[in-house]
Amino acid sequence: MSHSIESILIKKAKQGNQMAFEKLILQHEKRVYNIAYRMFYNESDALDMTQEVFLRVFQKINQFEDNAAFSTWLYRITVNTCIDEIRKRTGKETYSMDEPRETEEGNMIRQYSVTEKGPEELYLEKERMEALHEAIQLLPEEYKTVIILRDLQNFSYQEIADILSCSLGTVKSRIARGRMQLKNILLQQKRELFNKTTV
Amino acid sequence: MTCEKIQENISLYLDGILDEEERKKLEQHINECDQCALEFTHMLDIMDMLHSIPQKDVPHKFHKELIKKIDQVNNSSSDNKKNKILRSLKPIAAVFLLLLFIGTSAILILTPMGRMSKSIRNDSAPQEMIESKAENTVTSESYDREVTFDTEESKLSESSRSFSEIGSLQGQKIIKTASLSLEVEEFDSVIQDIRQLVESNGGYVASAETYIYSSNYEKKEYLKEGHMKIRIPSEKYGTAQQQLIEMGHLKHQSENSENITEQYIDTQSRIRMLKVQEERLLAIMEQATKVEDLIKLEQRLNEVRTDLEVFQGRIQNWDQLVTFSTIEIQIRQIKKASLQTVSPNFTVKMKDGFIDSINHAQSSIERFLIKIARHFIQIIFGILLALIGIWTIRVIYKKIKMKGE
Repeated sequence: MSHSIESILIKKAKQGNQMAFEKLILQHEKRVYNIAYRMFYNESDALDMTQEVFLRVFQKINQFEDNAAFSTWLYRITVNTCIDEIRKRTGKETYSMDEPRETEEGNMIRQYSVTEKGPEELYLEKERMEALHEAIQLLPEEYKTVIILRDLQNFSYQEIADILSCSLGTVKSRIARGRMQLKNILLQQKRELFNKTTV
Repeated sequence: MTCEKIQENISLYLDGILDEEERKKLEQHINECDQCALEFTHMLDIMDMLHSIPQKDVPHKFHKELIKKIDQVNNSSSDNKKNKILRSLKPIAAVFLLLLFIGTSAILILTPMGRMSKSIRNDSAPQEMIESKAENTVTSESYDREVTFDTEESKLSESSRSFSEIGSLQGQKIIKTASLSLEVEEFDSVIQDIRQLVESNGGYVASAETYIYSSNYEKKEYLKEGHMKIRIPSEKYGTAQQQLIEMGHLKHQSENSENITEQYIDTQSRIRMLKVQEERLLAIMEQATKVEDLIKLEQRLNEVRTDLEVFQGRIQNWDQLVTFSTIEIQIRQIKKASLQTVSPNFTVKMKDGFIDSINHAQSSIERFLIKIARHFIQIIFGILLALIGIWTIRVIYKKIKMKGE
């Protein structure tokens, strides 16, 4: 969508034109949903979050300043809404950067190996992906956020810095550390899955 | 450079954002250090996996539900606003009414009745004349100005039209249809009138049919009956219907409105989905090399396109039905004599009612004035009380304002 059309739609949406708002958000729906899905790794939470994000955007559209990019603003709200919700759920607990969180992982994997009777590689592949998803969930939220934005949503470093309103340097170090931690989680907990193929 | 630093840089290296110097260092180090080389392959592998995670599609229902939710939020917030405005207007309205009452009673008391009514009569006529004169001079003096007025007006009507369009797009996609049955005396002229009405309202006649239902050869009397289906822009639907009713004696009237908003939004989102599918298929086709695949893709594409056309056609049809309301009119000619026995129609009743109400108002005003004259002293006392009341309200209002600030 070109900038002029977007700015017209924003103007109309600010005046309360719902049709314009709908047009404005339509192209972002999938990406917002996918970010939320990766933050929670759960479909119904992701849908709730996506709805919440767009409702917030609708209510706050008047606070949006025209000089900024709409998408950046929208994804900032997305990230903030998800993080708010995660914090609300886990209480005021904070997580150390070095230690992965304790969760009950592993159930899904066992389910797969019982029900699926595909060729060896196929469910090895599946298990690996499952392990990866779970490992992402184990990351502290600030690493999780940058990994989702960078590796799953393909935002550039600069875009991520804009969305999170932090410096480029912070983004760089968070992505680097986040990936390292992700790798460590995978290697520690799922060594058997990776030993076979990569090591 | 330490292994730890190198390992941290691996991911930046893979994203291609390391600067020249660091990049060379890293490449060199990895060639020499087995541990870091292993880390490098691990990272490469993980990033490869991360990138292979597919994007999830948003469930179909989601968009519709979101729009509904936004609708609810939007409506409730605008209701609140309206209520707030109303609440804030209430005291103002009350004060205004009080002032009006006091003002009129004061005038009525201070001027003797007879003289006043006379003076009103004397004043009103010349004033009207002056006004009409002024209008004439304006129109004759400056033609240019009139033109600009015209364009302004057309702009206004344009904006109001687009507003109503948005209104119909927002929440309500309503198809309105009405059917009327009229008895008329002058059949041909009524038909002409209807055609004119349709044209002036920017509508069109969808179908028309006329036939003779009764003929008397001796008296050379032919009575006609006709059926017309007209389409009128929906914003003029109400007024056009009223005008039609006034053309003859109304025998029967029915109205029907169908809200198709949900189906409309549904179909729109289906079109969106199909378009995405179409694009995807086209993209796949470009890469396909096998003839078999191409044929299959072509078939699927055809299916998608036919569906798309069907849905788009439906939307177009709906748009048409929504923007143009349908009115069906059944017109039957009757003999002149029989019409006179029929009870007076709408306009006559309106006129009578209007005259009645004026007479009624006049007599009640007279009675009111007499009453005021009788209770002269009490009213003056009342005014004083009211003034005190206003003063206290003002003081209270100021206090509240001070508190608020």
